[in-house]
Amino acid sequence: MIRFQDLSIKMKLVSIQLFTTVFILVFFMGIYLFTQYRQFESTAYNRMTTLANILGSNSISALLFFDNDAAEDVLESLGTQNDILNAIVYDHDGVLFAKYNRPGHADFSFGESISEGKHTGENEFILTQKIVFDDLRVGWISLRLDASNRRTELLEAIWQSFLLFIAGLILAALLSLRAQKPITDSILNLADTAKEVRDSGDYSLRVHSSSQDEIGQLVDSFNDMLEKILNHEKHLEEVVAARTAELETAKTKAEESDHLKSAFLASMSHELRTPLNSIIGFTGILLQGLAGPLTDEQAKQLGMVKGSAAHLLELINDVLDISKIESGRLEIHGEPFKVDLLLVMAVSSLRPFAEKKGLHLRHDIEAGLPELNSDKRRLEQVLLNLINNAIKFTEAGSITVNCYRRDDNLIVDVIDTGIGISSQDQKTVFETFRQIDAGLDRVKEGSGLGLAISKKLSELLGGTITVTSEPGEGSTFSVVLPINVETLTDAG
Amino acid sequence: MQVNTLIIEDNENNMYLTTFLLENSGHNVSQAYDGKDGVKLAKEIQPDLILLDIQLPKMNGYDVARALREDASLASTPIIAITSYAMPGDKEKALGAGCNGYIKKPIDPDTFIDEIESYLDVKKS
Repeated sequence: MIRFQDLSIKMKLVSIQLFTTVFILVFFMGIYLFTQYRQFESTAYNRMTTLANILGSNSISALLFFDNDAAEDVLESLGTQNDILNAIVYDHDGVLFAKYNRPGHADFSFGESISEGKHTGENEFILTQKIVFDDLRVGWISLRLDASNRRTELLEAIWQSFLLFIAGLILAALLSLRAQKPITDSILNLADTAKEVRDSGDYSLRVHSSSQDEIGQLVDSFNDMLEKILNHEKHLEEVVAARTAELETAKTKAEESDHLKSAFLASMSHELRTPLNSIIGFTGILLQGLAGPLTDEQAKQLGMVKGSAAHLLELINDVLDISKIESGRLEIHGEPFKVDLLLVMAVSSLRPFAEKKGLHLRHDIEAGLPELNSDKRRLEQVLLNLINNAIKFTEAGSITVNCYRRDDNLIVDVIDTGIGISSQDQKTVFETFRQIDAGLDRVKEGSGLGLAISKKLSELLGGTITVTSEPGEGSTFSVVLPINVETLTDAG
Repeated sequence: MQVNTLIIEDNENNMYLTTFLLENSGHNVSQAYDGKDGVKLAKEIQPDLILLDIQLPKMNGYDVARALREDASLASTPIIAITSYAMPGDKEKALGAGCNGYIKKPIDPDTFIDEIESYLDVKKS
């Protein structure tokens, strides 16, 4: 069922006009038909009255002279009236005086008592009136008219009306189709443009306004709105362009200063190495006893110098590494190697430090691990960093290094039972110089760059590094590295 | 057999350090404090081994290495770059200029002699 609301405006307008037309046509046709129907009756009675008057006055002499034949002659003149079936003239006592029956029609009784008036039957009209002479009633005349064709005529009138109705309807439809065009056209025009604006996003489009009516006002408002959106968009574009330019400048400045920072760090690390070469070199010579024998105390103190110098070198190397990574100058050299071997060596090299603190350092490596195609030295650096950190931040318990395969990734977990890291610090633990910023216990020696370097190296190797920890419960650092499957099959 | 080693190095302390270590291991050490002098001395004394700093006055280490390689009599003498340059590509640059080895400063006195003498072994074999 189509609802009126869902029709197009065009169809709404057309149907409103058609409904109005139908209503008016039906109304007037009804009146017309009713009038026709009534007119048939009144015309018939008028004619009958006229006939009765004429026949009545013509029958007066016959009545006065009791000449029945003359009266019948008068009535015979009704032969020209096709629809008069019967006619009777009564004398002044109401006794039948003369009668006329249309050929083929039987006698008709107008009833016992004669009274003036009309009688309208289903198929007949009956008229009875006095015959008056010199103000005296001399008799009566009754006429009976065949009204059976009244129905036929009415049907004919209905049929004609119906044809007129159809013609009127067609005419109204054509007219309304044409008449609604100016209204629907401007609405459709507006709707088309609105759709085009929506689809293309081109706010410079305008609807052509051709009228001053409500639709014209709507079009004007729509155009104004488009203008405002366009201006707003232009303004936004300008703002965005200005902000982008500001950001570009800021970015360039940041990159420049980043570059300068890296260059400065590289140069510093170079300059620092030269004096450090003497410190480490001569300390080593003295400790070897090459410059003569040392007392135990001298050897102990020189050992401290050596340790501090080594630590200083480690710091310089970390700074250099981070500056290399940040300036994008660290190169990765991929080669297939056995990761389990690398891991065992890394763990073994650090085991003395763990044992010195009374910590149990163990590893659990899954059997049948594939060869890894990666930068062996950089991965080793990451693992040493993580294990070193674990030893540094664990006072009691153990450090476990697990290595296993998950799908196409190799995963190394370094699990300690140390002080742990709060969830707040976990977010920043991989950031450069974070240890210093966070004000952690400075007893733990280090540049604060170890994890930052480890993270960046892991990423350079195509992997990731993550931490999960509970303060007081220990930490787990996980390195996830992709396994190059091609190399795996080559090596296998 | 005593090894004749030429050290080209501008820093006095480092020169002293390297010389001390080498002489202590029985090397016969010659010293040059700048690049030009180093090339001149190398041609003169025909050392068995050359230890070359990269940052040098008058002529940098890369140019020294190239100049030495141009001399037919020094074409196969092991040259080991000993430098505090530690940026990526520095090693490749040194090897490309004709050096056989590359040792980063600071040197480790415990392993230094073994490390440089391994280049002599390579030459002999």
